[in-house]
Amino acid sequence: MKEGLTLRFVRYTLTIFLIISINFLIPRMMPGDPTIYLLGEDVYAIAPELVEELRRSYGLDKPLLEQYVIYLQRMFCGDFGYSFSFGRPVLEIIAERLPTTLLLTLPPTIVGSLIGLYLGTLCGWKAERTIKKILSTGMLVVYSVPPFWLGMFFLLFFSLKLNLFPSGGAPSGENIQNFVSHVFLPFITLTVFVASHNSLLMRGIVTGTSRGEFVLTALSKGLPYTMFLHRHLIKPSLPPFIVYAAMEFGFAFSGALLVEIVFSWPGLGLTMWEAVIARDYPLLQAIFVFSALTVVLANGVADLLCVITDPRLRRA
Amino acid sequence: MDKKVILAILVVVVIGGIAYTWINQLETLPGEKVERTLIIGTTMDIRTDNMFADYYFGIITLLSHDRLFRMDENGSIMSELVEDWEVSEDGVVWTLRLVSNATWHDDKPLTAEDVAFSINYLKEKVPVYKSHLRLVERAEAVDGYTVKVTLKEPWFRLPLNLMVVRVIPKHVWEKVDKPLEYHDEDRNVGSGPFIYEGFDKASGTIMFRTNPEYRLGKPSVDRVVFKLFKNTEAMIMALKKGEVHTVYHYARGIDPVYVPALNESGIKFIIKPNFGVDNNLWFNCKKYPYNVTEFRKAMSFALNYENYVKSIAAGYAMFPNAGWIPPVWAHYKETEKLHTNLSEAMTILDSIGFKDFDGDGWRELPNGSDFTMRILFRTDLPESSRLAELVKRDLESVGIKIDLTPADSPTFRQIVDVERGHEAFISRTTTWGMMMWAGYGTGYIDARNIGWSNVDDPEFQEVVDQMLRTTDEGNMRELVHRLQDIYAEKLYIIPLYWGEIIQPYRSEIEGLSYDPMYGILSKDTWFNVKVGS
Repeated sequence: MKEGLTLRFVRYTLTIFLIISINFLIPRMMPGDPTIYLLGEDVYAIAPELVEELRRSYGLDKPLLEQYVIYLQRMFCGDFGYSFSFGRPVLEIIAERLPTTLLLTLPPTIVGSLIGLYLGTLCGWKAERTIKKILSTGMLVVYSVPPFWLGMFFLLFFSLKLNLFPSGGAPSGENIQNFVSHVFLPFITLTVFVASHNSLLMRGIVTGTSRGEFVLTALSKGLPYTMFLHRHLIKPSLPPFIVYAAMEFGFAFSGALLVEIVFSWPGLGLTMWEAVIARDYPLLQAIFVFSALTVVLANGVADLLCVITDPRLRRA
Repeated sequence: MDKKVILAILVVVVIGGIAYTWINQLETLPGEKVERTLIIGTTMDIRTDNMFADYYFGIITLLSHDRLFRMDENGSIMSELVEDWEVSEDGVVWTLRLVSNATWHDDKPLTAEDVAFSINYLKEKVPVYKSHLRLVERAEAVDGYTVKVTLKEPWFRLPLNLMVVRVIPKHVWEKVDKPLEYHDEDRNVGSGPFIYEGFDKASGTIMFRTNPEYRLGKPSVDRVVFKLFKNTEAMIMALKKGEVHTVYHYARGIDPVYVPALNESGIKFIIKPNFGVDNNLWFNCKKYPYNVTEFRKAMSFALNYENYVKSIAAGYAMFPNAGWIPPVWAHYKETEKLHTNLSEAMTILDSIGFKDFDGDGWRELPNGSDFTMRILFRTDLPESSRLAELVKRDLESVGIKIDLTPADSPTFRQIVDVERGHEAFISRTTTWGMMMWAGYGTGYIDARNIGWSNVDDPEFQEVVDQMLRTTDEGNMRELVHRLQDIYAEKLYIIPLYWGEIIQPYRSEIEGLSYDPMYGILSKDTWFNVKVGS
């Protein structure tokens, strides 16, 4: 058990190091110069000396290896640098936008996962029933629709036609009406999407689980339906579901880019996109690193949860 | 169990509905003072409220910061903070006399010291101004309201470049060494008709309130709010619903495809001719075969301009002339209208040796090797990809094989501005871009400047040099006519259509003014616009 944990720790550490290194390389492999954003298109083309001056001031003129060493040193000291497109320290921007992102992504991830868990279980058990087939097909249809399209549809219907909600922006201030009206549509969009694919996943798992002999034994004991559902159908189906749900929690950090664009929601997904457009290396690197770390962390937590929920893994 | 779940969902929906209705009722606050607020939706990518660090925020500080010169509705330069000016005979020393009743938002007077400081400080500390003010040697205050600007060489286009300079208070900025990183409370103190109130990043709103002490009187609205959108569709919905009164984007109107839907919702429009050219086919005139005038002419005959006017501009455009410069500019000269003539295009291509030697349906180079024309198009311009497909189809109809390459803004800049590795591309020009260098788009063409066309033709450059030097209006007229003849004859660039700017607004407002450079953010708007209920 102890050896297994040590091995996992080493594996995760190596993964993080690799991620950090790849994060350094990817933005620099993209064509385009970050100084364009600062100088503007008109100046960039006619003032090469200004480009050089700016590159020097941001350390972009140094050899790549030297930049990499500086990047590693700073990162291990918790210094993620300065965003030249926002004109502010990177950590300040992340701290400002993270709560907005989590407000957008976490509640739908939790609620959608729970709905998906139950709906999938119900549809997976005796899946041949017509009502369950209809439900599963409905979920498949929703899952096949891109979330931004779903968002646009909700916006068109609830905002433009029914005039119930504003057409974008995150909530601001302490007004509860403002909060509800801004959060509702993105919440519903993401919840419906998360619930649909989680339910399809769970349906598949439960269909497999329900063929187990222990299920037959549980049924033959005459257990009440609720107890049977929770103890003998959901519980053994949980480990693969937990791994998947944990991954989703990890991705919650990086936001839901397309939904953020549809609802003009200033979260980290949108920030990442803005950083790509501006070739803002420090900001891009930091978001990638945090995002990757949360995915790795979520995986670690998922591993632990699987060990807790599945006694076979504890013995292994 | 199934029934219980359905029941639970129903209960949640009903309770949610009741709660929402109740909350909505709470919103009505009787007795609240109604302010006249103009709400403008924008998709401009504004990230921070430092006007030097954020290009688009810099644009909207037109509300809070007066400039030395501005542009009127017809595109003529007018004085703003400058009352009058004179130039020394050698064109090197400019004396600007300022208005004496301008004040900063913190009530301190705006003096010649501030103006001289602004010019010197911006030139030294802010990258973009190093270019705008590159020929300025120094600026100094002669007395309280007179500034002397000394140039490195004669430069008669100085007022034009001073039009983009924001005058900033010396008492705020003299202590700031890195203006791009300055975020203190007083960073947006200006002298304009509106006072900057703040940027609520969560809700994406930027607020300005009226400056009651403004030297030209109080603006006709109490507040101006910019509402930021990340996608155009949501912004158009907001306009239809009445969440915003109008929309704005620097150097751009709305895409004509939205017009019919907006018309149905009772939205009104200001329609103005574009001083820039909406879309052009650019060639790198230093690369073969784009350096061959006959080849470019053949391309111009292959293009279907009628299709671009109808399909891309939805009729809000004119067929362009070979002389490129749109008719709205002073000294416009009528040159040959561009038109489609496929047989002429094919005859020219045959005559310069571009033939289908191997019978594969595509023309090869005169030496028989394969030829593919790589056309770059910008993904940041909404209509670009549609237009690129039409251009591809047209050029392929005369046997030229086309490879379309999409590029985001930084990639485009890297290829076109830094490497100059492009063959051909589709892009627009802005009003300001048309005025750069010697004006009339010369900055875009001349290899010594931005030079997208990479032209170093001595005949063209001689005209440009004379335009840069001349002070005589008659001589300028002659030179600009000659320039248009050169454009028409050489076709360094092919305009695809001369478009119109479509500026939509709701019927509750009236009195919007429009200038060719900054659109509805024109100074006249703030004193004429009326916001109804």
